[in-house]
Amino acid sequence: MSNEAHNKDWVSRLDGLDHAAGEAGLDKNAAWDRLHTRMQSEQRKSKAGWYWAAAACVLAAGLIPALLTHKQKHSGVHISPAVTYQHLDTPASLVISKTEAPVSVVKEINKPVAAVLPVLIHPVNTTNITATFKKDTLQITDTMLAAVPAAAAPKKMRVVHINELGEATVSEIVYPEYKPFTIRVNSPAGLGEQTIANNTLNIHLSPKN
Amino acid sequence: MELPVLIKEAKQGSAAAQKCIFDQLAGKMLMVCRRYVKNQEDAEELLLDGFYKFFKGLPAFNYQGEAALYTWLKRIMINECLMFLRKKQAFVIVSETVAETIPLEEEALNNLSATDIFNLIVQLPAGYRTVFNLHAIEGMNHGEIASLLGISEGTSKSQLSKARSLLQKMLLQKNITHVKRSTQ
Repeated sequence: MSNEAHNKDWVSRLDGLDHAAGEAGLDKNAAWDRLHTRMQSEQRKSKAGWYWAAAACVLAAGLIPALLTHKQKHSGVHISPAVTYQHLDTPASLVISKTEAPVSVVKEINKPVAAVLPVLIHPVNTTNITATFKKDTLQITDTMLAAVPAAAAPKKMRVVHINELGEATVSEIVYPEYKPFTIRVNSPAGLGEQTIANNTLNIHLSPKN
Repeated sequence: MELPVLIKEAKQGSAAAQKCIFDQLAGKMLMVCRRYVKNQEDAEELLLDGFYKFFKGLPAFNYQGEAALYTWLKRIMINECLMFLRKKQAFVIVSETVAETIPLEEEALNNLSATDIFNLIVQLPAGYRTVFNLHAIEGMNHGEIASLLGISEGTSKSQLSKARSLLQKMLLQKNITHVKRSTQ
């Protein structure tokens, strides 16, 4: 407001005017009823809002512990060492499956046993490896433990031609049947020949001419 | 019941006390609203809006006398009216140039009854009436009016000048003999 002198008589009279002459005045009772109804409805609305908020709080208070418990249950499965072995064809193709949560093991199923799991077995019981694996749970019987290497699968080796040595050829090598075979190497230094009938090494060198 | 007691009880949520306050002040506040909004029904609606805000804000109000309470309530009503006029886009300001006007002798209004003054003001166009009310009755300066209405100070001055000129013309038309004409 400005600091102007504001002592006009007509202004104070105008402010004091309660109703305009010749006009129907305000029906105060009706107006109050409308106002009061409105105020009450607003109060009810705000109360309803508080009730909803309280209900939401109660619900949250009930749900949050339940969710936390549920989460803990699932996280317990991930760290649990309870792994069971369902079937075993050979020690090399050991399939590991989990009874509850297979997610963390899936990637390791097709890997060789020795690489995946350091299977700890007492040295004395190495003859009973298969029997041990066929059991549902892994039994560790002693503190003296040893890692069991995976047995190598029979493998047909590929044929190799050594052209750098002239006419030298390498015969077919099949491992591990140990069939007798001969390796002959023809070089400027002479003829080299090796016959392998078993796993012992026999080298025969024949000088050229 | 005394107003301070009523205010105290109304603050505590007494509907009876609130009704007493409403009965005491509603008539005057309706006339305040009608000075800004011509239509009776609109003015009544704005009166209820204003009283609703008044009662809602009453718990936070520190009572410092009847005059302070009246000023606060009146200010609430005026704000309600101005918001209403803004919504209705009642402020159609045509030009800012101050036209040649016949200055109003405000002393002449002192010789009129409150009802006559009220009837004269209500006949003014919305823009003139609003600026005249805010300046001549509420005592606001043009800067305050300009910021309140979202217009320039020049526009406010122009509107006030035109309002005064129109009021003077109306007084002359009514042939109010005791109005002294300016010799300027």
